[in-house]
Amino acid sequence: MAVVSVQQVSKIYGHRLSLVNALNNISFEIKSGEFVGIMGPSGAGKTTLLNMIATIDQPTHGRVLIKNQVVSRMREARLANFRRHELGFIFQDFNLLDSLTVRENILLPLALDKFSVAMIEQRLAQVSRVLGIGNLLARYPDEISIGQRQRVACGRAMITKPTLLLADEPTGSLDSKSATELLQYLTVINRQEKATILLVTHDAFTASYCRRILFIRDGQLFSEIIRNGNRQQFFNQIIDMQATIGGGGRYNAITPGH
Amino acid sequence: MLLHLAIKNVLNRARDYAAYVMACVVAMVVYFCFISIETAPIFKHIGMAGESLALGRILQMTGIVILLFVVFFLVYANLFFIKKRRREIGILSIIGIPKYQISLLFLVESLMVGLIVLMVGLFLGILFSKLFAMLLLRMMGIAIAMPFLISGQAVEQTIVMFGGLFLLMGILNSTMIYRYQLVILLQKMTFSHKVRRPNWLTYLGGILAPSLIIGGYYLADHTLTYMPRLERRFGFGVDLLYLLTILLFEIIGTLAFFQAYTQIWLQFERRWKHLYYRGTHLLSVTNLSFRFKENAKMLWMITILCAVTITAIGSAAMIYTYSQDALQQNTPIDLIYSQSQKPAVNDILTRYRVRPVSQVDTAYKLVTARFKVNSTVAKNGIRMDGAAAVMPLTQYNRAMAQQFEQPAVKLKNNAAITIINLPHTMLEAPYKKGTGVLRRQSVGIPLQIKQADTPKLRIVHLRKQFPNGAGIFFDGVLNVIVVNNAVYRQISATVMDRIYTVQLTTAQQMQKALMRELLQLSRNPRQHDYLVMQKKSGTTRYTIKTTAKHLSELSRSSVLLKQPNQAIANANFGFYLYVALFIALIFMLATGSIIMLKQLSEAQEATLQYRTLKKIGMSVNEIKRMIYFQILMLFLLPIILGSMHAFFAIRMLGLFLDNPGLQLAYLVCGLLIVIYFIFYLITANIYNRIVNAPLNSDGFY
Ligand SMILES: Nc1ncnc2c1ncn2[C@@H]1O[C@H](COP(=O)(O)OP(=O)(O)O)[C@@H](O)[C@H]1O
Ligand SMILES: [Mg+2]
Repeated sequence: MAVVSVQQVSKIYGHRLSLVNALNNISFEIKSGEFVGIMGPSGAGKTTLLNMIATIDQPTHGRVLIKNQVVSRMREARLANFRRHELGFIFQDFNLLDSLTVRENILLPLALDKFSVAMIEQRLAQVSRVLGIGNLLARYPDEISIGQRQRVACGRAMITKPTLLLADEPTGSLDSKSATELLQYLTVINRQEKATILLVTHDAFTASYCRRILFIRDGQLFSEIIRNGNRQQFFNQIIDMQATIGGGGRYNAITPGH
Repeated sequence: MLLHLAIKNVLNRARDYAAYVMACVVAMVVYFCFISIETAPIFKHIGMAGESLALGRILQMTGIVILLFVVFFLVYANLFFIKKRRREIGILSIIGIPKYQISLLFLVESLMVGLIVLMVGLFLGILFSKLFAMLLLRMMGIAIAMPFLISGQAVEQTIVMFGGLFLLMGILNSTMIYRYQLVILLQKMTFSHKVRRPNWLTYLGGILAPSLIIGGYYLADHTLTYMPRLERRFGFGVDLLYLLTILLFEIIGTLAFFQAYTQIWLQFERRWKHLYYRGTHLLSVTNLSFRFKENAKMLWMITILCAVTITAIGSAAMIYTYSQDALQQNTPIDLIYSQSQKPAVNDILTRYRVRPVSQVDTAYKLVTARFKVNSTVAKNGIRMDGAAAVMPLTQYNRAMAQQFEQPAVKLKNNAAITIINLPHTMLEAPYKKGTGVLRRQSVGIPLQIKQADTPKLRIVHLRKQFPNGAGIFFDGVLNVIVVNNAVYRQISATVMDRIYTVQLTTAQQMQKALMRELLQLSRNPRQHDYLVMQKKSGTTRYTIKTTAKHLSELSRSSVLLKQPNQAIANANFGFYLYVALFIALIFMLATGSIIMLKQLSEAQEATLQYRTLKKIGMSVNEIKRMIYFQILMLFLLPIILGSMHAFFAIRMLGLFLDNPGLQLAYLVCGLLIVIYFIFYLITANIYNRIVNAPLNSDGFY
């Protein structure tokens, strides 16, 4: 079953004189339980694409369906509700709230949804066990390390058990050790909790944890690769593809299409 | 080139500039309006109302207060404005514009803004000053058609003042590039919503705050209980100490309230998970916690300013009510005169062919009376022993009905009403307040009239309104005693006196010549009345002596005229209220805009937080509600606390002024709160617009 369906989506920014075609007629689908990465050079339109799916932005043409609902046509209040229930976000710079403790940061989405205290406590315990942050709960975000902060952000995204977990360059500000840890956690979540994950990155190492990768360039789908060997092999494949996009490399470009 | 850049700069930052210019213009208009009243020809009319010297001094002092405030306000607004532009300076420097040029640019820019403010401010100032002047004359009850006058002196003074200020601020701004390092200028202003866990000091402050505030209120409310006691032990010097203690309690208590109490209270809220983990509560509590902490000193200052303002206005209103009461009690009817003045008054009235609405005469007897009232200020009660006027009930009822619109009273044979000239807040009266009805168990105060064969009397009502006015009784006659007609006839006194009261029509009171002659008579009558007392074997004999000479015996005002005194009192009060209102207006505008500016400066930096919240699924409306609530709290707390302080201060003052009506005071306070509320709405609206833009608006990435 397709969780996400992006249909002929285009996005044009700017005014009459300086138009930017950030996305140009992109279509693809993501199935339930998939772990998908989006790659591309800087300015390719990755963030734009993610924002469309995240319902934060609306496409100029085409439409986006999540669980068969046309989110690109929903009204603001319903959208907020939809985001709260169906989507989880991990931002590059975490965007944790400084005034809240780790515990409060994580449970915030449930509190907003007026869950019962018992339910909140139960989910919180579960999430903090998976992410290994049980001993940090009483601290404030500026009292923990950057890697831990990203895990907290991850916990906040997971706690609502979203249909779709979205991450925009989640490892962008992490050192390689923290990045590896986070990616391992995401893999665990993907496997154990059956969460569908879509992450944007321009880093091949991060991308190598995904099962499938979509490459975009200049707002268009450029190619797609699927992991069937081990991670190292997949990593090499990604490197090659990046080289191709950049112009040159071992493989020729695979034209988009299925 | 430089001018071009400066102009471009101003145009680019039109929105920031608009706010800044507006703040400056408002400050200037207020200043100008005040100055033009102080210096303008209009002031000469005010002098007419008498007491011009005192009024002039008050105007001067107020002028200084306003000046200080305006300077403070302008510097604050400038700092706020320039802080936003630090980075701009840094960037200009980095792209290779020499320092002196940047400095010059900022100087030119500041002066340009100053020029605009001066022009707009003067224009609006001249417009508004006319309005304010008319308001002042109106409030003083002076009817004069005012020409549209521009006070040259005011214009000059304002230009010099503000020109100097802008030049100073321009220099300050232009040297900024020299005063800071480039790195600091380029730094993004970091902003953290971090909340600290309260430490023991905070807990101490949290406990101290309500105790101090409530303690102060208690002391204020029981001033009349404690002050006399302390006075008896330590002397009168203790009074000031007592008042200072209350003041200090409130000031420190308020500071502790914002610094510590709010923190503890909000920390406490976090423990109630069922409430805390519900909806946006969690966010509101933590955000408020942060905001109170960050703005504690400002909120404290604003609370105190609010309290001072409301107290000032409230007491001005109260003093007005008091003086109106006093006037009414002294001269309750248009014209009052004694027997000796009858020919003189009648002569004037016939000459002007005045037919009064009514003309009543009242007789009373002078006796020696003795009784004791319990008082909160004197341990053994207040003993009254001396001359008293005895009046029959029917005459009393008639006078009270006509002069004070009081219902008629009935008296039993042994009962009496006593009118006593002491603040009734200090008396422990044996009656239920307001109604004047006796408590069941007590039967009144024994009253002894030193006369042969007078029945034993008891005072059942204590009152403070003298029939025919307090002024017409001799200075030494402390009380009026009202008895049943039958009892009155039994009392034989050596002296009978008559008082005449006249009610005039409004038209008659408008006759200038008539009123002038009556006023002349009331100020220096040809003859004066004196009360002569002769002690003889334990009893006192009274005689009234009328003579043109000045004697050292007890005297009285033998002619009382209401209208001109009323007008003078009204003019004075109008002036005081005007000055108080002016100061209040400035304080309110200044405090309101300080909160506003501070909140809005934070708004820019809180945008990210609200974007995050929207991304994780809060709707625009939910956030809007949250913002309005938080800012409401920020505005509400100082005004509530300030009003409470003011309420107790005014109540305390009321104890000394014998509880005059407070309606006017409350009305004025209500008005201030409305102004404040408007500030709140504007702030919340702008704040919301800054942080709560819809996510998919294209301008942001
Ligand atoms: N709000 C916006 N307004 C105008 N142009 C934008 C906006 N957001 C993105 N763009 C443009 O769209 C293109 C794609 O941007 P983005 O999706 O952020 O790229 P990526 O995340 O792949 O680096 C860029 O050229 C960028 O300048
Ligand atoms: Mg991006």
